[in-house]
Amino acid sequence: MKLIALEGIHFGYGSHQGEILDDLNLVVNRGECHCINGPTGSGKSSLLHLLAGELCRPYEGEVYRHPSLLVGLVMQDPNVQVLRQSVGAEIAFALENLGIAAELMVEKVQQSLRRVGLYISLDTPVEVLSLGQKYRLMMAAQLVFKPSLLLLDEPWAQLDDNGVSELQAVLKTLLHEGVAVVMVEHNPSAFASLVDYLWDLENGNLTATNLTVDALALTHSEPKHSSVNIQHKATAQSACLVKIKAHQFRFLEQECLFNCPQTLSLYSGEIVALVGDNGAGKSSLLKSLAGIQANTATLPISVLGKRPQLGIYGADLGLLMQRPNRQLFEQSVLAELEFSLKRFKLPLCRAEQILQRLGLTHLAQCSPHKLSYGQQHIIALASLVCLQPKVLLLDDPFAGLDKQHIEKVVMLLEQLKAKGSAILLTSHRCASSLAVDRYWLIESAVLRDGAGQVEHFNVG
Amino acid sequence: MWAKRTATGAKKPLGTLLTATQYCAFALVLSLVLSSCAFFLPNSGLGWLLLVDGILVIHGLYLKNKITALLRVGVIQLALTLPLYYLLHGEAQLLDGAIVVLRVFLAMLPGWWLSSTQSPERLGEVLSWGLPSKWAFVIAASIGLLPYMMQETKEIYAIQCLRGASITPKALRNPKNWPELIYCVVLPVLIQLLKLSKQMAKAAKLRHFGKVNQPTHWPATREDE
Repeated sequence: MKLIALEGIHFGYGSHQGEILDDLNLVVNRGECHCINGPTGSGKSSLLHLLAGELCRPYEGEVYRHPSLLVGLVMQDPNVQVLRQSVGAEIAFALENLGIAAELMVEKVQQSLRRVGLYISLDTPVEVLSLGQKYRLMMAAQLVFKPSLLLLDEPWAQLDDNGVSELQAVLKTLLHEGVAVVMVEHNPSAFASLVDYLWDLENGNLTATNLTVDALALTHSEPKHSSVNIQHKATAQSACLVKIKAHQFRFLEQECLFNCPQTLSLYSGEIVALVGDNGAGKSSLLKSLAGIQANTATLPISVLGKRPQLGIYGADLGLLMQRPNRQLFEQSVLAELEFSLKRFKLPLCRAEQILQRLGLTHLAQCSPHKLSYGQQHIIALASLVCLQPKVLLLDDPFAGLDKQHIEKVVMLLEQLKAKGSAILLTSHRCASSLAVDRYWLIESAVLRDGAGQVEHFNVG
Repeated sequence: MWAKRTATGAKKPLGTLLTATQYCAFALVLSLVLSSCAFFLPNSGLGWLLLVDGILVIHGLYLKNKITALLRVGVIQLALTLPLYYLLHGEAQLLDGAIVVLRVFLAMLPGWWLSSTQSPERLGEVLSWGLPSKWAFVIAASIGLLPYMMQETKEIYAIQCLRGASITPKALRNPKNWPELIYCVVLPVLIQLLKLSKQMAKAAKLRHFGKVNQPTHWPATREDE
C-alpha cells in the first residue's frame, strides 16, 4: 500500500541559491525501509520535513498522502524536540493532543518506553538523560501514537552501539508490523540488515545505490586505518599534560557515575579516545578537565600542572563541546577564527592559513550562521586548532558529520598532534575514522585505560 | 519493575486536602498574589512579605531546588542600582534604592518557587481552565524552557570564556567589556532561543498539537505529590 509519494519536487531556500531538491521522486510503501545518504547540506533533513508535511518554505511538485498516514519524526538533535520536563509527560504529549483519556495514558507510555529499551521511571527528569537516551525518548514519544511512517534523522550518530542494536530491534518489529521507515543516515551500514532501498541524495536528486546489503555490512566492519596495538610509550620527550588520579566521579548528593580506580595520564603528542555508552559520564569528565563542570566535588585532576578552573589556561587549553555551532557569533568566518587569536594576542595570519589548509578560503567572508552543519562544525573546531593549544578536549567531534567533513576533522587533529598537542576526544564507539594512540574506556561504571583491551583504536 | 508509577487518578499533595492540579492552581494564585504584593504593599508590610516568601524559599530548598541564580540576579541588581541611586540622588536615597531592589527581588521569588515546585504540564493544565489551550501550552512550554536555556547560557558563557572572551567576572567589572558579553553570549543564546522555539513548534505540531479543542492531560505522578 502506497503511504506517501513525492513527484517532481523542486525546493530551495532562496532565489539566489540553487535548488536543494531538484525534480525529486520517491514512493514509500507500507513496511518499507528507505535509507537516504548524502553530504551535509544536500537537503536530507529538508526531505524528511517535506515527508512530515512540515517544510517551512513553499515547494513545487506533487505529494500524495494516504488518508490513514500518520507520521512520526525524530530530529537529529533530540534536545530541540523536548517539550516537557519528565519522561512520562513528554511521551504523553501526543496522547493529550489526541484526546486520549488520562487513565489510559500510563499503560501506553510504558509500552512505548519498553519498545525503545528505556527502563527508567516515568518521573525521571528529561534533563538528566544523555543525548542517546533522549533520542530513544523521542522515538518513544512518536511510537506512542502508532505512526504509519517513522522518519529518523541520523540515529547512528546519536546512539551508542547498544542503542543502535536496540533501535534495530525496534525498527525490525515496526517494519514487520507494516510501519514504513525513512531514515537519513551517514552510516547506512549500521542498519544494513533492515534497509530495503538505499538512496544517495546529491544535486537535488535521489539515486539508488548499487551497494548490496552484504557490501554495506562489510564496509561497516572494516576500519579504514590499520589497527594499532599500543601500550603508551612515555618517552622523555612527551610531557604529561593531564593527570587524573583514582577517584569516584559523582555529582553532589548523587550516586557515583563512574569509578576511576587507576591514575590516567595524557601526554603531549598523543590522541586518546574516551569511549563509553550514552550517559556514561564522558562529557562531564571533559567539562571537569576544562574546569567548567559544576555540581561535583573537587576531583584529583591536574591539567597543565594546575587544578582545572575556568579561565586559567588561556590559549593552552581548548574545549569543543557538542553542537559547536552554538559558539559562533561573528559576522564572518574569518572574524570568527580571528576572535580568539586577537584575545590571546596570537598571529592573525593563522586564521587564513587554517582556512587554506581546509580548502575553505571561499567561505572567509561568509556569515558563519549561513553555513551547513558540517561547515559550522569545522569552523568551530578550526577556531580552536589555530590557537595550537597544548591540550585539546573534544566532545564527540564526529557526530553528524559526513565523510568529507570527517576527513577535514581528522586532518586538523593529526596536524595538531604532530605539533605536540595532547588531544582527548569522546566517542560512544570505536569505529573507523581516526587512528588514536590509546583509549580510555568507561564500561560498567568504571573508567580505565583500555590499552591492550581491544584491537582497534579508531574512533569516529 | 522497570518503570515506577504510583497511581493514575487524583493525588493528595497537601495531606488529603488537594489534588495535584488543585495544588498547582493554589500555587499559581499564591505566586501571583505575593508577586503583586511586592509592588503594592507599603514599606511597613514588606517584613511580613519577607516572612511568607522565606517560607517559600525553605519549601523550595527542601525540595532540592537551587536558588543561586536568583540570588545572583538580586546581587547584580543591587550592584547596579545602588551606584545609580548614589549618583542621581545622593547618599540620602540609598535606602530607597535598596528597597526598590528588594521589591523586585520579592516579586521574582514566588515565580522561582512556582516554576521549581510545579511541572509545566500541570501549570498548562491549570492555565487551560481560563485560557485557550494553545496559549496555556505556550506559557507552560516557556516556563519549561527556562532551565534548558539557563543551561545553554552557562555552557555558551563557558565556551566563550575558554575562547578568550573578556567576560570573566573579573573582566566584567570593567563596563568596557559589557558589550562583549552581549556579542559573545547574549547573541548566540538568542539565536539558539529562536531556533529552539521554531523547532519546538514544529515538534509540537508533529505530535498533533492543536488537533482537538479539549486536549486531555497527563495524570499527576509521584513527583507531583
